[in-house]
Amino acid sequence: MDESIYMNDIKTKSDNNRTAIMAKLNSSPVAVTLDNHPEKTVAQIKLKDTPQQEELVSQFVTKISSSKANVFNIDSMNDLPSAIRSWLDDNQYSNTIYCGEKSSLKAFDWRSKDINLSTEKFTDDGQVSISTASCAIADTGSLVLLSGLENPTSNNFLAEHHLVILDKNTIVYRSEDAWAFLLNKELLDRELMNKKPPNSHQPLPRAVNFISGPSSSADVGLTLEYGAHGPRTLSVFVF
Amino acid sequence: MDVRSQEFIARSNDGMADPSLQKNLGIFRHFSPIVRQKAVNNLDDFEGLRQWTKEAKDKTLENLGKHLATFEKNVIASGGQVHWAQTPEDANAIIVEICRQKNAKNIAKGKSMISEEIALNDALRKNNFNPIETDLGEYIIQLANEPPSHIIGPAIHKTFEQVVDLFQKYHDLGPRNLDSVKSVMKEARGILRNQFLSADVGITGANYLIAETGTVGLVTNEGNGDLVSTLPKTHIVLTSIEKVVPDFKTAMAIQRLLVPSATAQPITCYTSFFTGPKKPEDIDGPEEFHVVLLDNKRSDILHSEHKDILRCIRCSACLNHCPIYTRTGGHAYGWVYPGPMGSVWSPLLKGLDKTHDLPNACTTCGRCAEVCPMDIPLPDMLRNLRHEEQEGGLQPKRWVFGMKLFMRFLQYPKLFQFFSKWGIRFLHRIGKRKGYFNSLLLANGWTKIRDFPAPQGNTFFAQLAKKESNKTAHDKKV
Repeated sequence: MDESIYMNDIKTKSDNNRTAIMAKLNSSPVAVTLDNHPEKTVAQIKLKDTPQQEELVSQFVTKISSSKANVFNIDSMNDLPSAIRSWLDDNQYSNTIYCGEKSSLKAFDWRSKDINLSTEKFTDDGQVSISTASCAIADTGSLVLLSGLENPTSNNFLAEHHLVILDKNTIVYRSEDAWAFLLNKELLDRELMNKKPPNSHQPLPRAVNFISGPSSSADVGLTLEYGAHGPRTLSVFVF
Repeated sequence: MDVRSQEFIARSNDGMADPSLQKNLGIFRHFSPIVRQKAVNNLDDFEGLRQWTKEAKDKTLENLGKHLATFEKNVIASGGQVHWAQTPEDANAIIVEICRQKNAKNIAKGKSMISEEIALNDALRKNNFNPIETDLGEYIIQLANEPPSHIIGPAIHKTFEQVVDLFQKYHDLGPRNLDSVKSVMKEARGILRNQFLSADVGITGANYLIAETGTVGLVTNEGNGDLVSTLPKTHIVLTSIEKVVPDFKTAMAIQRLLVPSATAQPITCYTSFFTGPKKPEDIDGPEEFHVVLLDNKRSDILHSEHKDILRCIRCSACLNHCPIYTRTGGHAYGWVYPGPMGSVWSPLLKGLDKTHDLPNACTTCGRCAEVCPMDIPLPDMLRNLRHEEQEGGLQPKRWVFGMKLFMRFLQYPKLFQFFSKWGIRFLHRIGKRKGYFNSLLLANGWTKIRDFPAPQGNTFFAQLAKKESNKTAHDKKV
């Protein structure tokens, strides 16, 4: 067995490798970047125009529904506890729902609906968790969730049933628009109405999750089924 | 994984004679082009997008060193660590050492083709570590002790019944009903959940390395990649240098092409972007975030005539549309990467000596190039590799002898015309009655499964001469 495998200082070896690799990469005989090459132009992509907000909402709902997420429309955030109560009753799941320590949802009256909103960490299967999306992408039917005390990442994946709250005014067209929003760059499309002012998320949170449906796999007998490891159901409450 | 590509012909015959494999491949072969086309039609402008992304990637590769340096700087700024590996051995040594320092009893792995390329699991086991695959397909083949047969769906060669047998054999859960895909997946969910929760180290691959923020992008449908990156205290990202892109704009363009080409979805269930280890405001996430950057010949390929292959995003569209792959299955190719892209990657990474049959497993139909979202000219690249095969003296001796003889023949037109004229007349004579041969000396490879048509009696030049003389006679008359 090769003794070098037992080396303690991997940093030295890694540094040597870095030097060698960089030397090879920068040794290109053609030291001209394509950025300033006069004949190169970026191919034009024929993009569809950004739809109006209503159309964006409808596109988002259609796309995420076709990936077997459930979508519920509510008039305002205040209706959330009763909407969730109905959902729990319909599905006969437990009355405990897990959320992040600093979740803004704690402000609502869950007690009167007999719902126990818990900020505990959980690991056993079969639980329900609830998160707030930062924004959503209509083009692919994706929710954008950021890790942190409000929405710990593990809640997005350890629960069997994941609930996500989404403000329909934060639905953007493309993923590029979502990144512009998250990185506090100028929005690529200026015609979006009623936008919340973008939060500066630089530096980025540890994890940004685009969630576009419940967990699925077609690895067993080429048959598509849900709940591979992540949530078996995904329900979006849009207000 | 040892290279067994030199057994391609024998193994593809085995594959084609395997009824359950053929059943699965038949379904796959029928549906893949249909669903991919549907998904691609939903894009605004597939061709425009493809050309933009090709150019963006080429520009990135021209400045790969600069972008890698930016990526490294930003990973470190966000609290992560970056390690460099020239060879598979380097990468294995680094990962083994990190696992040793972390005293890793349990290691959970997300799907990573690079880990197959460097045979990471073997290196870990040699050092008394026990890596468990968490991607369902990878988990199934880990139980079966087989290599992956497809780069996206490693277990597509396995039938439902075969998976049930494996679970019955290896899961000590007593008598129970595993009569549906749902029940099988539920069982896997339970078993693998324990793995996620108890793992000390999580190892994943990466789909994008985004330089502008030092962010690693990963796509999955199952969510195992996210659990492996979030729950264990240490997260190791094993990836290769050509995956780096300068910014989110390029990454999103690739994403838009990748998923429709790979699984015919607009996007995967989970697309996640990790920047560094857990922050003060996180209650979860790894305490240590390591990125292992592997070269393994990419820096050589970059300066060769084969550099187009560095645009490959591992979507598998070329596999799914290849008439050869969808009949032989992936195991015939004998190493990590099968199909058209594998027939380029394997020779480049492992040498043509053992893999030279692979570039020959091609009908030049061109479907791979048509569907490749990064516009890689695969048929041309395969032809170049066949050329290298010939120059390297790797072709079978009998073939070389036959071709040299034929070449000689062609250098003497009169000799060629003489033999072809009499050969055609002879075959016409003996084949006249039936019009075809169902067996023909020296053409056994053909006539075993097809009839050989009998020639109609005259060479092309003879017919042409006759036509010309008729024409002249006719003109003279007029």
